[in-house]
Amino acid sequence: MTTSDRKTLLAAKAFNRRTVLKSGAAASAVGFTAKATGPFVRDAHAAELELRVLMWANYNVESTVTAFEQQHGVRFAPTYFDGNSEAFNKMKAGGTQDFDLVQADGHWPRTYHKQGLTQIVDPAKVPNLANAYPACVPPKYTLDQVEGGTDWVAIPNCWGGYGVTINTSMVDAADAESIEVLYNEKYKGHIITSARFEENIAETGILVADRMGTRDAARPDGKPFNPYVLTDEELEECKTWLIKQKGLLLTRYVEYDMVDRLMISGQAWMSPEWGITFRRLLAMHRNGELDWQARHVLKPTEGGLGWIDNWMISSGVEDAEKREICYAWINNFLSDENMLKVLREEGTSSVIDIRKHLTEIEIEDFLLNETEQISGLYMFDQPSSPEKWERVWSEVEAA
Amino acid sequence: MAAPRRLFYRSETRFLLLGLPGVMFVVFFLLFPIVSVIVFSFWRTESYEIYADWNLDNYRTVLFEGTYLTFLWRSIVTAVVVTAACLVYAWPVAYFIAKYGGRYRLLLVLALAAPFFTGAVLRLSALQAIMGPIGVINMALGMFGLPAVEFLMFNKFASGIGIAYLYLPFMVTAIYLSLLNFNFQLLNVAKVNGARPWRAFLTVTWPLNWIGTAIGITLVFIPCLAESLTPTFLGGPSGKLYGSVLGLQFDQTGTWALGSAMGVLLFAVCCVVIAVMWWTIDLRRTGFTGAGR
Amino acid sequence: MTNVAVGLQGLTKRFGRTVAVDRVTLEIDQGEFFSLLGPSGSGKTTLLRIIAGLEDPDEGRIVIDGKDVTGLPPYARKVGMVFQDFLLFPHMTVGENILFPLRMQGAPRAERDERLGWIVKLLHIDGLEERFPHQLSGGQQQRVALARGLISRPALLLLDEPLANLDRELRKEMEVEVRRYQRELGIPFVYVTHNQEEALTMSDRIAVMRVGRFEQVAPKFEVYSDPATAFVASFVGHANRMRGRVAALEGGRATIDWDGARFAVPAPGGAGVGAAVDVFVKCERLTVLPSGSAAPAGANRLDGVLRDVIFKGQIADYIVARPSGVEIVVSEAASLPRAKAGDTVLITWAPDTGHGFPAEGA
Ligand SMILES: Nc1ncnc2c1ncn2[C@@H]1O[C@H](COP(=O)(O)OP(=O)(O)OP(=O)(O)O)[C@@H](O)[C@H]1O
Ligand SMILES: [Mg+2]
Repeated sequence: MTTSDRKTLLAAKAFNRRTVLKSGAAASAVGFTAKATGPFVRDAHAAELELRVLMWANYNVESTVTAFEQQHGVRFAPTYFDGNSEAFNKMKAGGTQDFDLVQADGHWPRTYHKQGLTQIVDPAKVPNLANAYPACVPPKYTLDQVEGGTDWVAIPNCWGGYGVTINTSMVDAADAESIEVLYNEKYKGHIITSARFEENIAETGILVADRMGTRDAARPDGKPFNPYVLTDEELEECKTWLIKQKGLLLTRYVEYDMVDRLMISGQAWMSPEWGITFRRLLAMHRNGELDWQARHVLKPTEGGLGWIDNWMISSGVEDAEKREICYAWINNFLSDENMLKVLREEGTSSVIDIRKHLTEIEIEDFLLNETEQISGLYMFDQPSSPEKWERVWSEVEAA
Repeated sequence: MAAPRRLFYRSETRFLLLGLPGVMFVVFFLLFPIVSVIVFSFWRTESYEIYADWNLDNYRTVLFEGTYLTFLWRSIVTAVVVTAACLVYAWPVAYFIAKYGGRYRLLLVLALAAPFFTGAVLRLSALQAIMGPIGVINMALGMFGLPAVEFLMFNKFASGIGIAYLYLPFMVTAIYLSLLNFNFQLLNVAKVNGARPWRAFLTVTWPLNWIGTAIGITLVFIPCLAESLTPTFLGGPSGKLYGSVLGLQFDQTGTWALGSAMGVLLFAVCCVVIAVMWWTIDLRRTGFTGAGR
Repeated sequence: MTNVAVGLQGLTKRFGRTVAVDRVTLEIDQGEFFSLLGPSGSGKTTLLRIIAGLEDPDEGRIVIDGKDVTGLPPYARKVGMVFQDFLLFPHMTVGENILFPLRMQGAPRAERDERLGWIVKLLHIDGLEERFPHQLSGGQQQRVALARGLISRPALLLLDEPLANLDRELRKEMEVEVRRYQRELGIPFVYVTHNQEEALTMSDRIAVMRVGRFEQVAPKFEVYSDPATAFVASFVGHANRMRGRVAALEGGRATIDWDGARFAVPAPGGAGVGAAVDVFVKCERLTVLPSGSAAPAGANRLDGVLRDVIFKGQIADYIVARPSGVEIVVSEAASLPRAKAGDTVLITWAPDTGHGFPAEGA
């Protein structure tokens, strides 16, 4: 229910026919085996280890799972969630006994650990992590470690940004570098943004803090700037900017098709988004279906938003054998082979450097030569006070 | 002791047993949610957690911070306008089908309800495909070198059309069903007795179909008040309605307590609307013959 | 102003291939009680609806009170109408129902009240004004419908089988009353029915209709006693039909060969010697006599065996079988049981009471 509901948005896209068919087939296959084998195999089943995973639906690559099950003699039992807080609530409600592995992004792994839901992990047991982009692991990226310490609480797997996709034929290159392009009178009626309140406020927060000079000054909480932890003054300023922006917006999008349609038709000239539309626009341009080149500004001058997804081991896993299986899964997930599938089938970039397997076009599409920017992105988080943020957002909408 | 054994045969017991499924349905799907929403509305949320400290802050916020009343007002105005539009549009359509539809009547009504066979999102997409900036209408205008019509995209007008399109079938169906039971001969009686067509409609057709019409009005007005999806898709940056914001409380911001208070207020407004509609119905004056004096 | 209240000239109405009303021409006088009698589907209702303006004729004109109203809408015709199933407005009280026409005319309040008081008295429904239609008996509902049709004193009142939904006793009572109102008000009534007794009881004149056409338009007695066509003869009253051949024609009389016997009737128009004819004799014109009795001079005579006597109260039907098995019905006063079943009897009747027509479809 919080920050990374990007997945909800993604889901609208990712739950295309293929994925639905796939999960449907998987479900019926499971049902069929259960029925066909009957009570006799019960014992064997009980003896067989079960890996219970709470995960985003779009990371379930069937071939990887099947191979893993055969190799390790375990049964992979996934449960899907749609937002970080949903998973978090499940874990809090006794989920540590129900799940062995759980996924979360941004600041969430630390929260999980603080609440005693996950255990410290040992990166040394995940050899494939050696191929990770430096920007995605400590010391450059530290949200995988306990606050102020070096113990790991999570192993990263994939990353993404929330940059601004730009129609270069309409928007001046100089303007595009700043978040302020989204508030620029010049582009009135041709700007679209997401309908989600967190991203809108957080992104405006980055701009506002930059303009107010509070971003690099000492923060009240003593921590580095986080656009999800804004002061009341900053929030007030955000509100002003957002209300001003309303007059410039064509609309706020609620589904990806809308971004595609509006950008392709040339009605919208820019939109913050996850890079999905950007990749489609690039492809169309290459095929000659679009006469202008799209650009995705991952990290504007004021800063940008991003996320890194992680695997965590539930604190309920006490059995050594089970723990080894968990590590095996994580390591297997980070294999080049699987990460390639995740990128090609699910459209998500991995934290493992698999560029050597990719085409130039894929590298360009997924901005894989710009991974250095990841560590500079502000990670998705939950608003420090959803109550205050809600009020700001409602006042913006009512204005 | 014979009494317990005979308990089952006692009519009260049987009544209870037969009535139980219905009662449970009402309790679980109606009473329970409503009661929990009412309870939540007096609680407090903080960072996605709900705390049971009783207070009135949510109501203070909803009722006295203009923001939420602004949305409510927008929703009421939208509902009034949309309902009126549906009414004006649905009457002739239903009338035509009931009177001249002949054996195609059922087919025509089903055709009207066809949008219901698809999901809400699909319907909205279809609407966008017709009205949007690159929709059929504007493409057609473009082909003739005419400028695109701005009022059809991402504003209150567009979302009004979208909502009307969504609920029009309710209105048509309600009026149609009423007209099915209407004796059109009575119109001939009125005409022979000196009523002009309009007069005949107002003195005979309208009052005798008022219950159906009132049901139609209620069936359109109430969901209009609560409408959230359509304004989000079609309404543009300034078109958010009460329902959208109410939904936001539960889907995104996790401010369930405030959302519950908003829900209770909406529920209250709906009750008032239903009460008003009920008040307009004088059963004897609608030709409802089951009512005593 | 002439005495003609309504004139219909060549009215024709077609529904697809059906000709519901076929070139109907008619004049109805002021104060006349005129009935349209005909079997189901003969076009009676359609004709009424055309007069009322609820249906446009394909051809022809309608003149009411000297004014051509053919193109006028119903509300401009000053015509009242009473429908078979009453059709009271269920959402209005009796008073409001009755006052509806005056309300539509915008009559002043005082006039309305006065007229309402008058009509409810006339029709014996005073005290019911505040009730709703569903709180009335069938007879009361019909009276209210009549009151609504009459209150504005229309130039013409059309009644479409207004008594068909009432039970027999009530119908008898209402027949007399409706006739009484009509007399009192002097408004011409066009009364549709397929019940010949009703038509005969109430009307001044009757038009017998068949597939959209008038077979005969005449004072009721004439329609009864002097039918113009075979259809009228069979439809009005109860008659025996005898299909025979003309054996001889002489002095305005024809001798008919029928069932091995001979009898005389007034010569049927258009039928020569040898032609097949249908002869109709009303049941009550026949007399049953014991076999061998002396018949009045010149009367027709037929032999038979009395098969059955159906006692009906004032009269009885005597079923007489001819040697060939053909049956003849004789209606006579029941007070004189002159014969019993199994007796051989003699049937006699005056030749002039029979009516012969060239046989249709022969
Ligand atoms: N609206 C209509 N459409 C088609 N045909 C019609 C219509 N109204 C009447 N008819 C036909 O016209 C003919 C005359 O009908 P009408 O109702 O006038 O008969 P009627 O004499 O009143 O019969 P009944 O005694 O049964 O009431 C019938 O064959 C009928 O089927
Ligand atoms: Mg009829």
